[in-house]
Amino acid sequence: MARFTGVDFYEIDGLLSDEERQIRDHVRDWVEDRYLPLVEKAYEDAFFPAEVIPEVASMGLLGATLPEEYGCAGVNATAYGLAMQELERGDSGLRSFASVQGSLAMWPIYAYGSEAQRKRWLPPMAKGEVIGCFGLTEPDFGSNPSGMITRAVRRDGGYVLNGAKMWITNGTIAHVAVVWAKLKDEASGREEIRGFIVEKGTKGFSAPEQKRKHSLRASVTSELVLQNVHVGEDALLPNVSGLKGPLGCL
Amino acid sequence: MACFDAAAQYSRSRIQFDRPIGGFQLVQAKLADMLTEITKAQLLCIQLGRLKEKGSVKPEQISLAKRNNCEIALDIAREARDLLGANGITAEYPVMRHMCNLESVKTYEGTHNIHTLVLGEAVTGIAAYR
Repeated sequence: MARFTGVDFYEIDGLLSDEERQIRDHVRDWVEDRYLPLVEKAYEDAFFPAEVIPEVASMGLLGATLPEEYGCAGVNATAYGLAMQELERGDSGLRSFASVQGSLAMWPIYAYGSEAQRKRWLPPMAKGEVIGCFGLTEPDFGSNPSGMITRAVRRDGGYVLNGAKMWITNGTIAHVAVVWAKLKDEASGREEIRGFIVEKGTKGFSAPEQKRKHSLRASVTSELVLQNVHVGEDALLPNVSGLKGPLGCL
Repeated sequence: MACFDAAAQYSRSRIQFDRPIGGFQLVQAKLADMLTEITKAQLLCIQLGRLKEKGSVKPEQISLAKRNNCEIALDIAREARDLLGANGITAEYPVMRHMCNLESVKTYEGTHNIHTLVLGEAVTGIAAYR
């Protein structure tokens, strides 16, 4: 097929800044030259070609809208959207990798995390050295996340998490998971949905891959299993409580 | 856009009944519909981006764009698959791969149906989730 040159019937390019167009065109060229030659085999054999992660990172596409002080590109929403449009033209699995890393893992750490959490996690995540995932959906709670079963309880100056998450993009390759769980609020006594940063390798935490998909085959989709997973106080995202936390990322 | 592009290129090069299939009205109707929906979707997204940059974007505006654009992307992929005939199911073209992917994209990060209810609530003030 001839090289893709875009679809612009209404001169929408004229509504974009030079920088926005440059970012879009750069990602488009990369997808055309680098990703399209890989994707059909990856799709057929059902794997995510992880060797492209450093290249996606070097284009500034991981957490692209977050500030430069955390190693991110600091571009505007439109530029980010255009970049994701181009990755999606490559494959939904590639775009899912980048949007989960940026919007679902890095963004909640930025928006709801402490300064220490931001400084620790965001720079290596922007470089693609640390991969993140987002655990909200459960086997029995998809469109109704407020019914989630996953629970956190306070213990020994930290928290113990129990539950299971499903349909988690990047799960098996992730070094860190933003997991949403219900925790009893000490003041009100009510259970509130809270976010926790759970690191790969924490005892009781595993992320087996979900196989046998007819869709998103060039993407890693996983379960997250949490069995008495003990995390420290610093795992809690301090600045959000309730369903608006996870929904604010989507 | 990948599927539209594949369909448009295919319509110019595929010869049936001694002429490119792009010369047939049924094929042109499909391509016209695809181009129209892509253009509408682009206009939704550029304005959504500007609202987000301005800081005034509302969740239901995101729902409208996600709901519409994932739906039309899947519709276009299906129509493109049809336009490419049997070739549309092969790995020679990106169409069937995108079509299968978009079944997930329509469903994840807020299903089509849930975004419908977000919009329904925005219109009526009544939440229909339960």
